[in-house]
Amino acid sequence: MGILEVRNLSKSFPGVQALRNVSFSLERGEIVGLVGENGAGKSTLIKILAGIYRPDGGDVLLEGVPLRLHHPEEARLHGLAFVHQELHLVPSFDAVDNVFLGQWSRSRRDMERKVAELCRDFGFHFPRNIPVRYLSTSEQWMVQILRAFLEKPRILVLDEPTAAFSQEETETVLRIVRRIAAQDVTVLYVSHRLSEVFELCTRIIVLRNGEKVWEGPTSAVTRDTLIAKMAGEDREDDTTRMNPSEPQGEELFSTHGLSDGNKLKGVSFSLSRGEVLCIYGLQGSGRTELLETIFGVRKRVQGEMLLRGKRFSPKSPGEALQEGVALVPDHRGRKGLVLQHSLLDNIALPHLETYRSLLGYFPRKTFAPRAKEALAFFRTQYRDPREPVRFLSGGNQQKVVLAKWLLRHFDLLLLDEPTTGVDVRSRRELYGFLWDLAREGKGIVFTSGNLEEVLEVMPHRVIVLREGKVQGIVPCAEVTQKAILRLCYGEG
Amino acid sequence: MEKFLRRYGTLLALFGLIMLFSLLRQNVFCTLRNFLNITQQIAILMMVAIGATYILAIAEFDLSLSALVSFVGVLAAGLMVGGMHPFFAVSVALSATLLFGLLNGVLVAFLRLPSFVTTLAVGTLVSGVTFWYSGGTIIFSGIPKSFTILGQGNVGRVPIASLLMFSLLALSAYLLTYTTLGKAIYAVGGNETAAWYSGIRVARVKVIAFLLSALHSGLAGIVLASRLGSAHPTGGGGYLMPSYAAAFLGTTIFREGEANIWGTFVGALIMGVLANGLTILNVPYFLQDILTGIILIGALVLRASRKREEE
Repeated sequence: MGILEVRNLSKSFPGVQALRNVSFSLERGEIVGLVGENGAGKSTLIKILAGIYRPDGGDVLLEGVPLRLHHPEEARLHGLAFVHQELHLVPSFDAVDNVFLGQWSRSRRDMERKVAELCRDFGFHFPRNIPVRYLSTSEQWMVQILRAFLEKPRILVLDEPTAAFSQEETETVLRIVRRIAAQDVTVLYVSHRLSEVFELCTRIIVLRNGEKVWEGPTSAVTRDTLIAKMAGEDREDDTTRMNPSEPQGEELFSTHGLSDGNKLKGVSFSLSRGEVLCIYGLQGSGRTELLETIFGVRKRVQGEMLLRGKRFSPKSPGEALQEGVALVPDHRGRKGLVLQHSLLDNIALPHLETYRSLLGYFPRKTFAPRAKEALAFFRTQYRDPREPVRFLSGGNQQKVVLAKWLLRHFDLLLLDEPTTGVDVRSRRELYGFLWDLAREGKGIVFTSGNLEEVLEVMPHRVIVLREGKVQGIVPCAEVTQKAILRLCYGEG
Repeated sequence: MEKFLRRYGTLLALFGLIMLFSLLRQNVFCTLRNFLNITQQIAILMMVAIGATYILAIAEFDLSLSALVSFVGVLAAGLMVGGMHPFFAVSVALSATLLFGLLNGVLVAFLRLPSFVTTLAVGTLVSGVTFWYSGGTIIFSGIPKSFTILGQGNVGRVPIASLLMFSLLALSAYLLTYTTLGKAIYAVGGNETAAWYSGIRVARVKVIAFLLSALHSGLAGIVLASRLGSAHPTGGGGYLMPSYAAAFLGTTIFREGEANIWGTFVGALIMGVLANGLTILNVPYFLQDILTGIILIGALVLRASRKREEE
C-alpha cells in the first residue's frame, strides 16, 4: 500500500472533462514525475490534492484513509505540501517572516532559530534578514521550501519548479529535491523539462486529455517514446489540411534580433504575404512577449522590425493598429474584454477611429449590424448584444474577442492562443477564416501550445520558441508532433 | 417589487422627497418659481459634479476640484479689480485652471502616480497659490456689475446659471453617451488594460478627462464668484464631497455601476431638493447633512445588493 493513493479521480468543468478516472499510487520517499501537454489535466489534479477543487468522483487516500479536503489548510494539516510555480511571498518581508507567514505567535528569536536550523539541514546560505525581494528567484523558491518544511510534510508536490531558473539554479533545485526524498518525503515532480524528470524520477505518470495514458519506471522509456506518449502517436497521421493556399512570396513582415529586455532574447523570422505561421511554445517560452512586442504593447529593447519593407516600431497598440497590425490577445478577461460592458461596446473598441464621424459621433446604427454579423460568423450564443459580456460563458466570451478583432481585415494579424475554450466547430470556422485572409494576401501569426491544434491548422511553417529564442523552424511538409516536441524540449 | 426598488430606488427617492415636501408646504415648495430656484441653487454643485463624473468614469479621483473652484474665482476677480475686461479675466482664469487640470492629468496618466494623493497634492498647491494671490482676503470691491449677470441674471424667468447648467449637462451627456471619446472614457474606466490592447490611447483619454474635470470646476467657480459678486480663497471648499456624493448616487441608475451624466443630475437634484425643502421647513442645517448621508448609504446598499444578486 502506497502512502498516497488516487482512485478513479474525475473532474469536469463546463464543456471540458479535465480528469477522467485517473488512478495511481505513490510510495514513501520516492520521486515521481508527472508529465503531459498543456491542458492534459496536471494542474487540475494538483488542485484537487491541494483541496482547491473538489472532485466530481473518485477518492484520494492517505495511508489508506480517504481524504475529504474542503480547504487548502486541511491539506497542509494532513502533511501535503505544495510549492507552486508562482511564488506566494510578501516581497517586503524577510525570509523569517515569510516562512512563518500568518503564524507569528512565536517570538522572533524562536522563529529565527527554527529557520536557521532548517537552513542548516538543507544547506541554504542566503541572507535571512533582508526583504525577500532582494533575493534571487531560486532563493525565493528556497524560502517557499522552508515554509513547506516548517512541519515536515509527508508528500511534497513541486509544480514546474525550474520554469524560471537558469541552468545553475536548476542543478541546485535537483540537489535539494534529492535531499528531501532522502528524508522519506514523497515528491510529486511536475515539469515540462523532461531531462530533469529523467534525472530525478524513478517513476513517471503521463496524462493526456485528462486521462492517465501511461505509468511506469523511468528505465522503461526513452525521451522519444515519452514524448510520443504525451502527444498520442495514434493521431499523427490524422492531418487534414484546410483549404491550403501558397504564400505569395513577397515579404510582408520580418523581425531581426528582437528583444524586450526580459523574456525575448533575439528573435528573428520573416513572414510572406499570404502566409500562415505558427509560433509553438510552452508557457513562459516568450510566445506572448513576442506578439506583444510586435504589437507595441511591450517596449522593443533591441532588434528591428520591417513591415512592407519599411521600418516598423510602434510605441503603442494604437500605432500598430494604424499600420494595419492587430493582436487577438490571450487572457480575455484581462486584456481582451471590458467584462461589465456590452458585447457591442466591446466589439467597437478597436474600430472607434474608423467609424468616427462628425463631432466625434459614433454611428451605432450602422455599426451594430456589422458586429452582429461577426458574432454570428463564430456562432456566438447571446440573448442581446447590449447585455454585459460577463453574462456569457467563457467560450462565448472568447468568440466576442474574435469578433472584435476580425470585424476589420488587418494586414498582419497576430493571435495569441486564440482558441482557448472554443468548441471544435467554431475553431474550424476560425481556421477557415484565417486561411481566407491568407488568400487575400494578409499575413497570419498565431501562437499555440497545443500540438493537435497546430496539426489541425497545418500552417505553412511552425517556429518553435523556447526560453525566448527560436529553437528551429519546421516547414509544413515536416510538421509532425515529434519534430516539434523534440525542438521544444531541447535535444538530450 | 424588490427588483424594481433596487433598480430605480434612487429615482424613487427623488420623487418621494418631492412628494413629501409638496404635501408639507404645497404653496411654497411645489411652484414653478421654487423649482427654477432649485435649479439655480444646484447649478454650481452640478457643474463640479459633471467634472467628477468624467473622473469617476475613468475610475480615478480628482480631489483638487474644490481648490480649483476657489482659485478660478479669485483669479478672475483679482484681474477684473486690476482693470481687465470681464471676458478676458474669465478666459485667463479658465486657462490657468486648465493648466492645473493638465498637471493632474500628466502626473496621473503619464507618470502613473496614484490619482487620489496626486490630486490632493495639486489641490493643496492650488490652494496655496490662491491664498498667495488673494492675500487671504475676500475680493469684492471693484468687480464690475456686468460680471454678476452670469450668476444673478435671468432670461425671462429662467436663471442664466440654470441655462448654463442644462447646456453643460446636455453637452456632457452627448459626449459620454454618443461619441467615440465617451466610449473610450468608459473603456478606460472599465478595464484599462483591455482598452490599451484595443488601441485606445489610455494616457491621452485620462488627460482629457482631467482637463474636462478642471474646466467644469472652473466654470462652476466663475458662476460662484458672479453670483456672490465676490471671491473667497476657500469659497469652493464645500463642493468637493457633495459633488462626488451626487456622482456616486448617479452610478446607481441608468448606466448601472458607472458614473453617468443623467445619474449625476438625479443625484445632485436629490441633494438640491433636500436642501431646499428642509430650508423651507426651517429644519436645522445639520439635519440636511444627516439625511444626505443616510440617502447615500441607502443607495450604496441597494447597489451592493444588486451586485450580489447578479453573482
